[in-house]
Amino acid sequence: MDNQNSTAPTTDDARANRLVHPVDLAVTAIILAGVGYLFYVTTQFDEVSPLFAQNIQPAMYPQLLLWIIAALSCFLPFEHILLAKKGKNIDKDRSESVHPLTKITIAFLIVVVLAAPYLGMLLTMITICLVMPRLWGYKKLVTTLLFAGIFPVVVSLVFSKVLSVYFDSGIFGITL
Amino acid sequence: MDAIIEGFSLLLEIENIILITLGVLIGVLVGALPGLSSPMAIALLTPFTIQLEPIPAIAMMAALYCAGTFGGSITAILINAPGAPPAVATALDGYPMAKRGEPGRALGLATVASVSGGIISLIIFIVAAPTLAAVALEFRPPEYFALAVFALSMLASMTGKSSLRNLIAGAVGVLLATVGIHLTTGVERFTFGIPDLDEGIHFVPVLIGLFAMGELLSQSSTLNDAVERIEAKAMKLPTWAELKELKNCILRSSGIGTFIGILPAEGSTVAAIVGYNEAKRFSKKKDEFGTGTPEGIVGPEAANNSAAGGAMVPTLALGIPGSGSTALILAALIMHGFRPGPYLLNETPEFLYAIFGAMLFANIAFLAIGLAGAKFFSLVTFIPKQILWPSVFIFAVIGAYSSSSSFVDVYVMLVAGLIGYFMNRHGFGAAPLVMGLILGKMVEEAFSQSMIIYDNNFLALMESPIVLFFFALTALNLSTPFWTGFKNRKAAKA
Repeated sequence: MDNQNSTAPTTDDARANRLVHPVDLAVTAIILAGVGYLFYVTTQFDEVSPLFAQNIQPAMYPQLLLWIIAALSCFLPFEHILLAKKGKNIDKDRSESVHPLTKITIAFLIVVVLAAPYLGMLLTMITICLVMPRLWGYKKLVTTLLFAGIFPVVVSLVFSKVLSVYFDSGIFGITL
Repeated sequence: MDAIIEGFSLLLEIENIILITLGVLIGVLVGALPGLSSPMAIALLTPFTIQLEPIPAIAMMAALYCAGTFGGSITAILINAPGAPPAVATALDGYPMAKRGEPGRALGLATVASVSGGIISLIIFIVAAPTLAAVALEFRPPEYFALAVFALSMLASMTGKSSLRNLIAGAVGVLLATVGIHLTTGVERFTFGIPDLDEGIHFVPVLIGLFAMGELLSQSSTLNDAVERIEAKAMKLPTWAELKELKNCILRSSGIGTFIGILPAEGSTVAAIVGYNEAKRFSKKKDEFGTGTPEGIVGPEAANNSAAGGAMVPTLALGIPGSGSTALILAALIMHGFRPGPYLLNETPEFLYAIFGAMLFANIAFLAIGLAGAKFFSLVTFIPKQILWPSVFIFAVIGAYSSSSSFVDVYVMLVAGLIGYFMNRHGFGAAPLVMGLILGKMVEEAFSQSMIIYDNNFLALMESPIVLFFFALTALNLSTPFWTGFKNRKAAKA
């Protein structure tokens, strides 16, 4: 069975055997679209008189960089051929789709960061300490509760009292 | 002489000693925890050092940088997972030695090699940095432009998945540095009407996002990876006879590491790999490599710690970062209102000696920490990821928020983290982007001034032999991967 698995062509192998790498082609398309948009933005920069600008308009340098990024990106879809010859697998970390837990973590991070101005810093920290370990499958409830009860309070005290960092108290007005 | 006394006297103040010791402890701790790295710790620490005086703040970061490189070896030896990338080669022989029942000996060898490599590189640093700064005083904008272009081209040979992706990430970093009001003309560029962007992109939230949040998301997919841990009860220092036998290996690796560290963009990871390979090449017991041989531990450890000292040379003397960590130290210097480069060293030489003293202190502190805390640091590796990473997230949020007490910076940090995660997934490293971001302003300033000097005639730049030298190095550096690839294919066909 193992032998069968090792000889069967994988998705990575199939990608590596192509002239154009489909994922990198998509990456290139995204980069070029971004470059195109930013190039358009540079054309909207205010122009200043050549004497004042000393012949270097504000858009010139960013445009030069955008050309460089675009030119380098055009090689991306073919780069896997060179890398494969060096024994490097560019698909190693992206051969599997984004892990479900990573997606959930991203969603949690976005929600908690957006809620932070309303919760205030202390409640935000307590929420993170309570939810994230459980979300990541940590089963020891007592440890989690101790962590959520002690860590944010200690951090708050150290940063607000010792380092004089001002913490927003949020709509509930909870702070130390 | 006055500068030396002044520099060292700054370090003798009790508050500064505490800060540097704290830097060392945080560094070793961060280095010992898998996934956490010294660039991440420096990024997280930066906003909290703004309230400090510049010299103790930078000294603390320099100490953390040295200690983080050393700390990575603890996990490399005990759990076969390098706590930091520079310790990757240490695991090759450190873990087998620990596994056969000698974890204390492996830690002892790594510590002594780290201390030796670190001190040797600092001696070179204290001689080379002022010399290089004196030479760089002669540099005009064209020479600085050529030097910065060379430094950016070095991103191609930085460790990572691909040279091309490193270069693209570096160019994106340089582009990000153009955000804000153009200094010469006062025109807004890429601000999109957001007043917070007028002064440019804030370094701190971007750095924290790229280094801490990106890694946090990567860690979320490796929670179930099984790890075999070996507990070390005490560290065992090598005997004199053993040290005598390893002396040449340590000296050689220290030289290699310092040289690689001095090269722009080349950091401790490259140094460690080269150090390991050279230790093997010169060894009389080549067959024992990979089975837990002492040379396989001291070779990479002396090299990666000496690279930390070496990387500070271009960072302080030229304002060109020698590695990802030193790029962050440069960012901190800029935030403290300094303009890194030869003028800094010539106008405030005590600064150089204070940094030297802090790094020397850090290197000596490894021994004490290793001897007294080996058991503690081996236990630290048992902290569950589910507790560790929420703590990192909290520090990331506080760090981003406290830089200007604004939630906008927390949003910027989160966006940078998401971008960093997807960049990393597709092989674009965060370190080249940060180096581009740091060098970006310098490149544009030097380019604009050069064009004014030469009346927009780019070819006239070549009149300077120094410019020609750096451009030749750039061309050589960029063509090397193609040239070696061609040579290898030819050799394979033959």
